[in-house]
Amino acid sequence: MFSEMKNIFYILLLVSLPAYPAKAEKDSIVYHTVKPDETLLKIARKYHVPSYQIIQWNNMKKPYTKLTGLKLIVWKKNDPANGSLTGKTGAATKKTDHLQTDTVYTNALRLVLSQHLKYPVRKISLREKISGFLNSIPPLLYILIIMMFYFILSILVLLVIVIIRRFRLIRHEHKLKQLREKYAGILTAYIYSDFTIDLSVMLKYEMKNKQHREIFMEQMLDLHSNLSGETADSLVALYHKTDLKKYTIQKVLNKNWHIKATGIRELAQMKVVEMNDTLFTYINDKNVVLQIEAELALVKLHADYPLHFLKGMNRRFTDWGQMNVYDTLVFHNLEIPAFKEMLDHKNESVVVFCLRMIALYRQMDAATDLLKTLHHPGEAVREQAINTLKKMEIIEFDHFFKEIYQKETKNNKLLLLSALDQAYEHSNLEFLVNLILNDGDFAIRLEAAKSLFKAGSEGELLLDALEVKADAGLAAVIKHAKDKRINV
Amino acid sequence: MYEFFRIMRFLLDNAIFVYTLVMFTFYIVLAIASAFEMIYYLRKNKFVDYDVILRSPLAPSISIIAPAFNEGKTIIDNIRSLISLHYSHFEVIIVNDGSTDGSLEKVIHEFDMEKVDFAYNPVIPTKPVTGIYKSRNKALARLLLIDKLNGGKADSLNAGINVSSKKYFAAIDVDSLIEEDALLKMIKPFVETTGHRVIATGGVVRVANDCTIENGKIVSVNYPKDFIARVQVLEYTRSFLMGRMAWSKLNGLLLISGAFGVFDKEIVIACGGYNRNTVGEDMELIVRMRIHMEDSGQKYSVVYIPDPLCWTEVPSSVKVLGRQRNRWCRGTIDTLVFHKKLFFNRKYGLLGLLSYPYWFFFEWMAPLVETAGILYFIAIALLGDPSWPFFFIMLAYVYLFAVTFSTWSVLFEELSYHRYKKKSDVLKMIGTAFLEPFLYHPMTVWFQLRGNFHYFIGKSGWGKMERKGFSKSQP
Repeated sequence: MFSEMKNIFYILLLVSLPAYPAKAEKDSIVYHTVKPDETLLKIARKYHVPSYQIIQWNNMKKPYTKLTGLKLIVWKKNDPANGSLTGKTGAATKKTDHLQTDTVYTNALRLVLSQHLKYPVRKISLREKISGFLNSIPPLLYILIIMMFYFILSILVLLVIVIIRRFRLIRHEHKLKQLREKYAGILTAYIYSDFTIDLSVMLKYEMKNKQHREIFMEQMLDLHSNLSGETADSLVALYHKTDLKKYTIQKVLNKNWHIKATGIRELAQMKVVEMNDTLFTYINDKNVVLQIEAELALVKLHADYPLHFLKGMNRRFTDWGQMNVYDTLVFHNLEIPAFKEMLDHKNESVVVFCLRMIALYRQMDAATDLLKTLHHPGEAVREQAINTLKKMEIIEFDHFFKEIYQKETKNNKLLLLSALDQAYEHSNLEFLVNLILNDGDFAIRLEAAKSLFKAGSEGELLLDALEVKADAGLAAVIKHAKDKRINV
Repeated sequence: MYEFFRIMRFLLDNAIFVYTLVMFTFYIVLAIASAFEMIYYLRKNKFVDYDVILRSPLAPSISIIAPAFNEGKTIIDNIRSLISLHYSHFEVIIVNDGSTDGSLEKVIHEFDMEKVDFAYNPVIPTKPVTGIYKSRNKALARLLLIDKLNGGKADSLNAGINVSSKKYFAAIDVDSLIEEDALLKMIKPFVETTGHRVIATGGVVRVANDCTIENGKIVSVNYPKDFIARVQVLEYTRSFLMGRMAWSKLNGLLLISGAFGVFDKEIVIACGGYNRNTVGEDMELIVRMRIHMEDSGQKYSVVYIPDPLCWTEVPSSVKVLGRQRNRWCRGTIDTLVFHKKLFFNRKYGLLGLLSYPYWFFFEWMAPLVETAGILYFIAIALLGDPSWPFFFIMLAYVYLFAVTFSTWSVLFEELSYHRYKKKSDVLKMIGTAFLEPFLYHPMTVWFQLRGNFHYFIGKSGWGKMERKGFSKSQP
């Protein structure tokens, strides 16, 4: 869970510069021999002396490098250069610009900040503390302060947005409602007048406004979906007579997917066929919404051959897509092909779809082709084939049940057993008994027992015989198989 | 150059500061990513007719598994609302985990149930099952009751999985209120992908305190009256709407609330089911499922649905809240420890390089780092000389960030689902955001510290806590 308040502690950054006095308070002059990897900055920090002081005391010139071996003065007691408020550092050194501003700046700050300090410190340590502080903190501090203002501002802005939005929403809704009623009225009048009212003038004028256009389309589509036959067709005719089609096509070609999708829906409902090629490309788009909308549009636009779109499908035909397509086929009562024709499609998901449709539309003439699919290389296809055979209660498959069973995966074996509704052949009954007694897998034994139980009186007798001799585990399985209350 | 090195050393010296900065950046990035993902989802939803799933013969079948321990008062209502969810192929499995309050008898009586000869096959090992019941009433054919010896929530879920005959299962807290369309929305991700396999989906958990509920349905949504419940509304909004959406998009989600999640049963069984030895079984399962999928090389994802689908009563007393947060903390640690091989492990991609480290540093360690920082500051304040102006600026910064972040989350909720209709409720939410850092946050830090403490001193206290029954799952 979030807990974003864990940041009070970072304040310790400011206490990371402890204020202990410089070592050399007692001596009057302190020297330091520079070691090979020491820089001016390092030495300055070590002795808690500002770097410009060292530069002054040693009359150093730029660049301040190659100091190795040099013996530098790092501390001078009571040097008038130390912490003089007036900024006069003596005539001995040649001042450069940056030293002058440094001194004035730090002196001023020292003055201000010395008032905040609790105990008297040497001016040196205060100055170096502040300069060290400032050298590394300022950007951060300024950023933080800026961010704080931003936070406060954003809270206020947010509050304002929320409140304004609520008001606008109400007003907006009211306006939209008026428009909706207006256009609904116009369209209804158009219909009742047997399509004689001339709307072309109004449409030309009003449809230039995007919002009006959207509401009008919305009302038209809505009305169209509630009508049928000649009335519905005339609305479509009206649509085609006007410029609205142009706008729909614009939407379909827009770069935003959600606008494309809206356009596709309009296309489909208003029977615009010019964009078929574009729709075919959208079927393979990576956006899932476009995939579905394109599929459904192609189904609706080709009422005589609704599954035309399957030809162009390069990707998996998702279950969600299949559900939608089936729903559309049923709802619009569209003409369905003989699905057995497509059982050799190279896209496995399409084959699965066809198998499902065969079961749902009860295309019994597909039986032979179905049985062939039991040998399909794809496991999912075989799984669906078994399911379809089960639903359609095709008895023939009883014959070569054993043959298929041996080669199948475990899941499909279970499915096969549950599909063996009426194990007529005696050899199959024996096969089941064998499974019940000898198969290592609990689920298989149970499924076989259920099959045996369903196989008529002969099966039941066999099962009872087994139960008598069974151990506790097997007896439980058989009891389960016989219990009709468990409809699993 | 010198400046650069000085700053680097300075930063290293101040690791805690860096920690905060990284954490804040993460939060902001996650919030922005969540915003985009939310917009995408809301737009997408406009094109979906969920009723297609409802009436489709091709819709997948789901088992709802609801473990129950001593839920006597509300169990009948809860079961009723579960069996009337809008879906066509599903069963409801209630697992009675050795209740001692007579709830088993109540249910058997109320739904006219009888014991059936169900042969229990423990594919996942569980405590013994003493009986499986179905109703004599054919209208209740989808209801199944399992009676077993007490074993905890994970154990009960596993028993439900063993008995389930469907391809997917939904794990829920029995006293959570599930919205009617929830199953339709939660199952959709499983059926709409072309390339990869969705292994689990999670939903948002909303706070039901003080909402009006009739017949197992939320009639009106009200902002809770208790301060503690109010803060939790903010917490949940921040976490769900501004965090999880982003993780879902990245496919780095590590936690699906135990209150409501739908899973691919085959994968769960392949992973061995829920782990009984942890109090954080929901998170632990997801991590294990991810590892399993990564190892197998298949492309997969864990998806998140931001629609409010599940409503639950959150703790409104300090004591109950404390127990809950303590337990969540220990659950998190359990998961992190069990799967420590993920830590910055390149082999596991995003899971190892981003998700696990994030959880490690910013969910587990956060309260510890904060406490350490506070103690350090107190020490310095007493011994040394901290600069107070700076301190106050920093404090203000942190506080404002917290308040701003909460306000953003209120806006998120306003613009997306707009469940809190009253203007006064929205303003109250913002007001709560201002108070939270002072009144609420220190408590949760304390509870998490105790959780860490309890974890590391030993698990003897753990068993006792479990006996009390299942409290709310970590959202």
